[in-house]
Amino acid sequence: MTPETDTRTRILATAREMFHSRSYADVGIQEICVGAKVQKGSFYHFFPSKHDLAMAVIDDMADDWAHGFVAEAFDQNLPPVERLDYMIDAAYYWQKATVDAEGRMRGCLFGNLALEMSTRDEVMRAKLNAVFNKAKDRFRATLDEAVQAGALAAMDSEHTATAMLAYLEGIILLAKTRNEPELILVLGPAIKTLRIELTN
Amino acid sequence: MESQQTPNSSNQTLDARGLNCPLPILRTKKALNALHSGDTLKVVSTDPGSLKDMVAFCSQTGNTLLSSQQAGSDYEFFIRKA
Repeated sequence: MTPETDTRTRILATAREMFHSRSYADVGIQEICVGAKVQKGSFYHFFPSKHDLAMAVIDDMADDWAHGFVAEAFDQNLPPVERLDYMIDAAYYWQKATVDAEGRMRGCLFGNLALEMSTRDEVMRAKLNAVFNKAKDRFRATLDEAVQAGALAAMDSEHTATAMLAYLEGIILLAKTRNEPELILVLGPAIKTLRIELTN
Repeated sequence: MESQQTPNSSNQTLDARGLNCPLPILRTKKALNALHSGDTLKVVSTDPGSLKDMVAFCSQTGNTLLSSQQAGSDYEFFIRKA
């Protein structure tokens, strides 16, 4: 890793932690620089503004997810429906980790930012919507595969996938509000029962 | 948590070193699925969160955490499949 990549990576990692554990509005560039141990001039070399930084944080986290636990949960070697259980487990243990470490459940970074920013920043809203759409597409591909394999009856997989994402995000929001990640384990497995029927 | 009786053999070893939460748990779940009831899985991880995660995972799934110990920067777990 070159020193330049290292600096950018440090800024991204610090900002991700701060945005996730607090909020976008609550965190300033100055404290991100202090946390990442970089000069302000260096910060602006990589990111013209806090908005640009947040956009990069979203891309970075979405990329980590896609190649990390989302890829692990939506493993092509697992039976399609079983992948949903793995996704619930992944959400639970990931959320539990911050409760174990800091006593507070952080929730979903994308969900947190969507709630905070959707009425305030159209560009960020669109980016978050794209991230959610990609997640929805993972569910949809899994459902289509399950239907093709005969494991599930034919359904409106586009809307069922959207419903599954909405259910998961909703559970995470409630669990965060209760500060009880266990709610994900209690309610999560029922994600498999969701289905939106095809209409003519 | 440290067990007095660390098993000295396992049916399979899972190397989860370098992986962060929740990947060690997901890999453990997959590895256990491939084993038979009563088999023992050894998991080696470097994620400190694994200590609490393995306890929660075994309690959640009914598998038995036979031992849990730190060896240098590694954490070693022996799990008996239910």
